[in-house]
Amino acid sequence: MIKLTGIYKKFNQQEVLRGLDLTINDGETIVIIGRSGCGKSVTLKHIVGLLKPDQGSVEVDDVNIATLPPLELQSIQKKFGFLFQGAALFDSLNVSDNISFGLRTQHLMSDEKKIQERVAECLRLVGLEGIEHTMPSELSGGMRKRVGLARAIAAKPQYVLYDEPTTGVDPIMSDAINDLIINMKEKLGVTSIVVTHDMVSAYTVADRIAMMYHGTIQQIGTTREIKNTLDPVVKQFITGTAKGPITLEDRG
Amino acid sequence: MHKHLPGESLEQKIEERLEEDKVIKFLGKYIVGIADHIGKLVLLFFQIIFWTFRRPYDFKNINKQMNEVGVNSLVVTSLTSISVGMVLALQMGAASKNILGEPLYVGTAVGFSMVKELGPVLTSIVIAGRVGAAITAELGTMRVTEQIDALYTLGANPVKYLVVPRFLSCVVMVPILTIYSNILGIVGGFFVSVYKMAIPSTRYYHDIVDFLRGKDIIHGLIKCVVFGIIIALISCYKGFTTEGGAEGVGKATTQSVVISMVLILVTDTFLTNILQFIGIG
Repeated sequence: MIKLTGIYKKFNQQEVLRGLDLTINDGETIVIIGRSGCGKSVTLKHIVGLLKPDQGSVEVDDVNIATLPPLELQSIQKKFGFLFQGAALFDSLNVSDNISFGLRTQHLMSDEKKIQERVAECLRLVGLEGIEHTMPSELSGGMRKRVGLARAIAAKPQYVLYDEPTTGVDPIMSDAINDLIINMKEKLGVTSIVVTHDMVSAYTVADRIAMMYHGTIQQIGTTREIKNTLDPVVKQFITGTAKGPITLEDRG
Repeated sequence: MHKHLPGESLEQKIEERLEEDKVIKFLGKYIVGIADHIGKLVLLFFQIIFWTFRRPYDFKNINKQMNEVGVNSLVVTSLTSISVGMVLALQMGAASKNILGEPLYVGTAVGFSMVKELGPVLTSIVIAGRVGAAITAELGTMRVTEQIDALYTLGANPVKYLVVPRFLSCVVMVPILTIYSNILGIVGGFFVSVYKMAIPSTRYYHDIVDFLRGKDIIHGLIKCVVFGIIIALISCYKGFTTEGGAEGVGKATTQSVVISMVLILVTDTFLTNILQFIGIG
């Protein structure tokens, strides 16, 4: 279980998170929605320990990672798979080495044949068989994202964090990624935290949806609850209208 | 009660006071900024030391970086050191001819200058420009494209995986390149002395070996180890703290090269003084 309590975070005087509370139960898929720049990615980075809160605690399986020394934090980070917004593939390594990177650094597999099998299996899951020896610079944006996804799930993590998984991929692949997120939950019991603005994807994969606004959670609830919300802020966002309490200048 | 000078109103005084405050605030911010950077650099240095001795050792990566820093810098180091050796011989020959009527102690001048000063400093500056810039640009790009964050999430420590191999390569390869540069500089001086100024080759040789002592060579080598540390630390630190996309990478790279070069020259002055004081060279 992941529990964020009273998270405050400032970047150069700009307060991004203002007392954020969020609990993520094991085995569920939670989707975090909100305007660009409202702190969704920052929240994800707090969960995995890439950022430390100015105030508040981040508990992963009852361990507060906000105060953990680097080496112990590293062992907690092994529980996570992270798909970055821009995929963040290592430019100097080919697709296969990118995907197997975590398997090697975490010493999860030592047999080269097994590593290659796992790489091929992950590539098959994201629909990109046979590109093991391609360099990231030769891939399109959508393909990079899918390789990033393959890398995130290669080590069979307990929690997978997706930072805008369907942005920049075509609608068909977007649906395939949604299926993959659902499959990961159903077959492997993975807990998924998805950050997105894609409402179709959010409704498809989510058990619960959390809307972020002004550095806190505006509303959290099941897909049905969010669809039938009475909160004007949430309503405006999910229906995608320019008029309402959220103005265009308001970054949320 | 304050007495006002004639012609000076209270408003003017307040304004002056505010101006003073601004200067103090600006200076304060600047000093705190520098202290912050120095603190983080020292911290990075200790992290490097910690991760260097922690298993497993990443020989593949270290080998790759050694190749990048050392082998790939051979051509540019050769060109600069031969040229400098030649020009030193030319100048020393001309100067002693003007003063004493014949070119004297050309070998001594070339040998001492190369081994103690120009070899280490020039090699380090060339490496700071070639390798330091590349390191900052590469790590900076990795920072802004979240690759460094990705390393953390995949269970690899970026200091261990990225910085340690580059640090070791600089610390080992800068001295090796300096020795190489010393030799080439002396050879360059030899050609000018023998073929242009008609100094007998044995004289050039004895001018060097009769005066140059082991501790003079050690003096140069100690300096270039320190310069290697400076290049690696500054370039990795600047890369790791890059912000702001492609423009940020460009800025960080420029700053990294400029800071490394200035630090090399400033450190050289202090280090030469200290080494001479304790009797090394």
